[in-house]
Amino acid sequence: MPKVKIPRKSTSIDMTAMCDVSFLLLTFFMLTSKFRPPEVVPIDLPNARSQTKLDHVMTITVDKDGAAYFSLTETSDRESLLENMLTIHKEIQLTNNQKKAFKGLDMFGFSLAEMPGILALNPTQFKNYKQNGIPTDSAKCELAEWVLQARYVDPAMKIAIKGDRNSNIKAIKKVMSALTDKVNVQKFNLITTLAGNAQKQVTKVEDQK
Amino acid sequence: MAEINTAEGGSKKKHGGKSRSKKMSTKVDLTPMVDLAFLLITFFMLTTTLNKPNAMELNMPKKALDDKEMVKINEELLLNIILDKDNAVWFYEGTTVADLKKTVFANEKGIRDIIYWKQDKLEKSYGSKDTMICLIKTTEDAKFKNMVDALDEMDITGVKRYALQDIQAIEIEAIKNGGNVKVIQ
Repeated sequence: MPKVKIPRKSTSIDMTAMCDVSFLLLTFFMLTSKFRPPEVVPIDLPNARSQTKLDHVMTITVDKDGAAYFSLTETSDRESLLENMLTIHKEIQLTNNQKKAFKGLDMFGFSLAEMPGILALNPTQFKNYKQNGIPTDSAKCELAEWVLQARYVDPAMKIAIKGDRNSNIKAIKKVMSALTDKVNVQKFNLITTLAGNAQKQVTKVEDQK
Repeated sequence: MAEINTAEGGSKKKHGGKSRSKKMSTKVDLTPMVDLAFLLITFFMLTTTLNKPNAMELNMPKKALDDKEMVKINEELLLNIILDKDNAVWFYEGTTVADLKKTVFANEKGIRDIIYWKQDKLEKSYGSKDTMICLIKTTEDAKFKNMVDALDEMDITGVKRYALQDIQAIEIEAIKNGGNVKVIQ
């Protein structure tokens, strides 16, 4: 019997279609994405079960030393926020360059008095500058002013408090009372991370013991 | 790799003479390009803020301006939780600060069981566990983590009515003297 000849088929696959798909996806991700802003201060988030997602917020960050920082996601919002603040505080004069510098800040934590000086710093100097936090004392609560003015910019914006898990409760309570007493906001969000990590950390601590 | 050279122009010089120009394949191997594209996709997926932060919502009570605005509540419904340093939790029912007891945050035999126990008790006497009111207070040494943990417990146990409150002087005093109080575990 003659052998059955199996015709040799080419092993090559046409990659064009796959290439098309992957570049389409790539384009989608490039256009829809916003880069994660660089962390000014490292924040170790507390764990909780909650999975509500937040969008379009102003964030008040409290680091583990209790210093408060303020941040807005949209740069256009930041511009109008600064304009609002400057119309109230006429004593502070900023050049256009300083205003531009403010617009570029993802997060800031300085008092109004320090502001012109800090905004005049060049990027490398600014990177090395240790920000002291926005004053939250009840007598002269600048944080409340920032929040209030940001509310004027966009009333729909939610307020989130992003506290470090190890920051003292006093600092957080100060921020909260600034919001409730001065700005009259009774509803805000606490940024947390999923509870899964919590158990890991608990076991870690036990291991060390 | 996806393409194996099948040696089309592989020197078929049987007929000597004329040197024909080789016919090169117009196919380009796109595999590396696909690799690159997927690499970039991965990069953009990971660096984007598509992963929005998780958040828990918190509603603070409005400050009462005078006594008329103060809401009177039945003290039997009340469970006070006080957060202290080193993740300790103190609790007492109603207004009997003298009954202050200490416990911990834990999935079992911690504050969660205390809340469940109180809920059961209220369900028996009032017909609904949702009548329970939790007041969460903190000493000066508590950490933010403790507060979030306490709020998380409210979420887990399904306590509908809870509030953050300032600690009272009598409670601070009780905690200070609380060293001899039996530890519930």
